[in-house]
Amino acid sequence: MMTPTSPHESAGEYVEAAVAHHQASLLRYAARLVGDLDRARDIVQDTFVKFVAQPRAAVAGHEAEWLFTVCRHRAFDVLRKEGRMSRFEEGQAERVRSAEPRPGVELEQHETQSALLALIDTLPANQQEVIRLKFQSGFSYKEISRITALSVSNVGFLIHTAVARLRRDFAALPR
Amino acid sequence: MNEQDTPLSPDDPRLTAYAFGELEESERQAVEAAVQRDPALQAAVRDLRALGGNLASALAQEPLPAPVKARPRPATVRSEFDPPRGARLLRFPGLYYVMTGTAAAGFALLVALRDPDAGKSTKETVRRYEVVLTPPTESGSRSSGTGQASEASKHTGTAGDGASRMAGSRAADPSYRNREDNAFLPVVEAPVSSFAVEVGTEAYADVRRLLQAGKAPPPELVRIEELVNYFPYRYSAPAAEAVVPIAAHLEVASAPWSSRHRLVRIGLQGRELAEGASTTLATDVRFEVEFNPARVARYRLIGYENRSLDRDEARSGSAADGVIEAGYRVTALYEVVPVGEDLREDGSPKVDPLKYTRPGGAGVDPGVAEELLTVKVRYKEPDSDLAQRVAFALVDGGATFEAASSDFQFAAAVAGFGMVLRDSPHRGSASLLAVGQWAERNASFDPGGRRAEFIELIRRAEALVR
Repeated sequence: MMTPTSPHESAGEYVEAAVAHHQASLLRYAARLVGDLDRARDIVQDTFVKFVAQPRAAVAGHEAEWLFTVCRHRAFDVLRKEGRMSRFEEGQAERVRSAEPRPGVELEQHETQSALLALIDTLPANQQEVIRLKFQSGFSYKEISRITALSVSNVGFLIHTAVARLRRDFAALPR
Repeated sequence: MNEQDTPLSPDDPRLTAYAFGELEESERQAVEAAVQRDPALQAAVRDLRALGGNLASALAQEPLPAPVKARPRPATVRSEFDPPRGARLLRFPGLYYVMTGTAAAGFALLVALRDPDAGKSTKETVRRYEVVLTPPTESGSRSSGTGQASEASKHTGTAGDGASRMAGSRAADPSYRNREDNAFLPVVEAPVSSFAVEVGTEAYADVRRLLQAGKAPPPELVRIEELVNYFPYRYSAPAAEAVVPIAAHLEVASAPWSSRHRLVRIGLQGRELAEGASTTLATDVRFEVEFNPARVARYRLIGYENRSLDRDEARSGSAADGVIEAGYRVTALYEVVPVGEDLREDGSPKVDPLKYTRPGGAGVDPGVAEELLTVKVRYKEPDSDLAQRVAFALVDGGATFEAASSDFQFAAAVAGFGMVLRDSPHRGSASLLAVGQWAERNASFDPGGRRAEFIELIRRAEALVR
């Protein structure tokens, strides 16, 4: 009952594989953009609906990038429609809220992850997005550039700035 | 960055891009030259890579903004994230429980058998079956868990004895030669395989050093399991409150070097360190893989030469049981020849099929007949004499290599690279060109820049190895 292993799987299998492969990371990405999971599900659903409508040749080889790009557009459509775009844009200028140092709390090794996550949440929204695309979804600068329509050097600068601040804030946490 | 002496500040975005493997080759070389001249830059690169690794592992654990609410969907959204809150603990009263066809994406179902037989008391047998829905395995495969009551009783009396545990399987075996690859074993003769709990990564450093010095590494130095385990993969850890401290990430797809064969990836990930908990997750740990003869004709453990255990050793509990610490992670790969594909190169059957005996025939529950294999983990909780057992079953969904997860494909590339360097008789169509392509397609998740560096090593090898 082994499926023959040619890359010429059926369209159904192709879509199924793409869904299985990317839905979780897309959902996570969308949820971060719009801030809630139910809406994110709809966005991811819409994204796959569009994916199915694509000729395979148009997406083959860069499925992830294509999906994230469409997902991002869709998420911003939703935010715009709901008048929530400002939520995302205000982050462009400066941090939304400051890191809350936790005086007296000893930072043990096992707290590293939650501390880092808390610090990421204090970054401007656009920096958060590229940091997540790079370190959570595993995209390269170039791929992030195509997903976000930013230049590669702009992506590099955002990541650099975010990472520099995370390093600094992380070092400043009480130990 | 074209001039050789361009000064570079530790706060330069190019340095960050360099640390994360994001520079084009010419620029990369220029930055590398600057880094090699300046210890401060070297320190900055180290810091950046460490932070990158921390970010990747922290973000892998990041919960979703809102709790997952189950909603029926045509394409079931699998939740590989947020296991701590999403993990559900189900209890089943029966002695035997099979779950298959959970959802399109499938769930790894985890069955813990608390086996009191190991204790000395004659108290009545208390068996508790706890099924934790953990994040699913990756695409292309479906996992189901099976509570194996019969297995638990079969092992009675052997599991409890950890007194003769030997530490350091490698040190205990100074004469290993590691020259011969593990052979394909017929499942009917050897249904159970085992692989070492503790795996180093030194071989990768050796191979890298030699290749960078322009020398081809001698085959016996190339320990494929150490190469494969050098790289981080995105295996999520069990929830902090999960009963079982280890999660399995099983995946199966075509072997890229031998398209009629299947490649099985077994990833095991220990719980992360929790507040107030001991760093030791489990002792007397042993991994076993039982193959289903109805599905698998032959199998081969890739790497782990001279370190896999035979069934007798495994039963006696005398060799190489391991200790696992918080954050433990291991990857093992098996190449599997499915039943029906067990042909010689010339196409004739290797063995005449038996006329009356069907492999795995009688007595196999139809629910488990479709399973390819079961990974069994035996362990003891720290300070406990009670042997625990967990079983993870894998069903082959027939995925192509291209449909496999990128971690799977990358691990296959590393194994293929090792087989080429070892000139393995099992390398099939694997070539440096091919493994380079498999690696490049799957290098975007790259904390610490290790995958980028690996691709560079393949290029270096091209000049040295045929």
